[in-house]
Amino acid sequence: MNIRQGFVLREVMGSTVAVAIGEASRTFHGMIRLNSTATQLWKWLENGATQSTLVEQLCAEYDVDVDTAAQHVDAFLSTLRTEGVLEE
Amino acid sequence: MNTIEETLREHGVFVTTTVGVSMEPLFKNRRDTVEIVPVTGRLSKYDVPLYRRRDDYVLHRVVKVLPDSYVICGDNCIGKEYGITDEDIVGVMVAFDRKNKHYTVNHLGYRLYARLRVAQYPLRLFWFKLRQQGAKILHKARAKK
Repeated sequence: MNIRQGFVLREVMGSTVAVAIGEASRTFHGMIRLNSTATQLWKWLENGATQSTLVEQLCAEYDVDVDTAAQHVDAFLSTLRTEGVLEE
Repeated sequence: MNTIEETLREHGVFVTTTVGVSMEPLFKNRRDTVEIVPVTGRLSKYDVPLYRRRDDYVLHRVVKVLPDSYVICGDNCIGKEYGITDEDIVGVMVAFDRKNKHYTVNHLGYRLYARLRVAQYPLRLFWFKLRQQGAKILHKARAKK
């Protein structure tokens, strides 16, 4: 599971957005705004994290229980799948 | 997904990759990204607005400001567009990432580039016409053979 090639992060006006360049930009024309947690999850995904390691890392990084972390990760991955950003 | 206008209204910024060759050498097709914000007031010469041209969105440079419109031209273009009004303008570029390096439009190097590019227009036009004439002569010569 990884971020599809061609998606990059940009810092704009104090927040992070993901946009497509290269071939990915032929099918993805918008931008995805990421909060700080989503940005962190994105970066972990770029480094090859699995769904379970994302949950573990979220629990380790933030003061959240496993269920809450799992919900956040599920929602995040679901958004990426819907937008065609995730490569599985 | 929201339209560009909706995104600008909702988030105050729109980031996208650049498509096409009309703004080379500054931007290469689908390599670089630009940061667009809503316009406040009139544009200035050398600004790079995102504007609507029929069903398309175009990102070119203001080369002349008129009382009620703008003259706009891509950095790699010969044809100028006239009659672009404030109503056509969706937003203006305030920063960009070129080869993954970030610049704002206030970057000295960029400001010099923009002025040089616009000043070079007569040379670009001359070179374009020279190549066009050359191609015509070559075509005629080949037709005679």
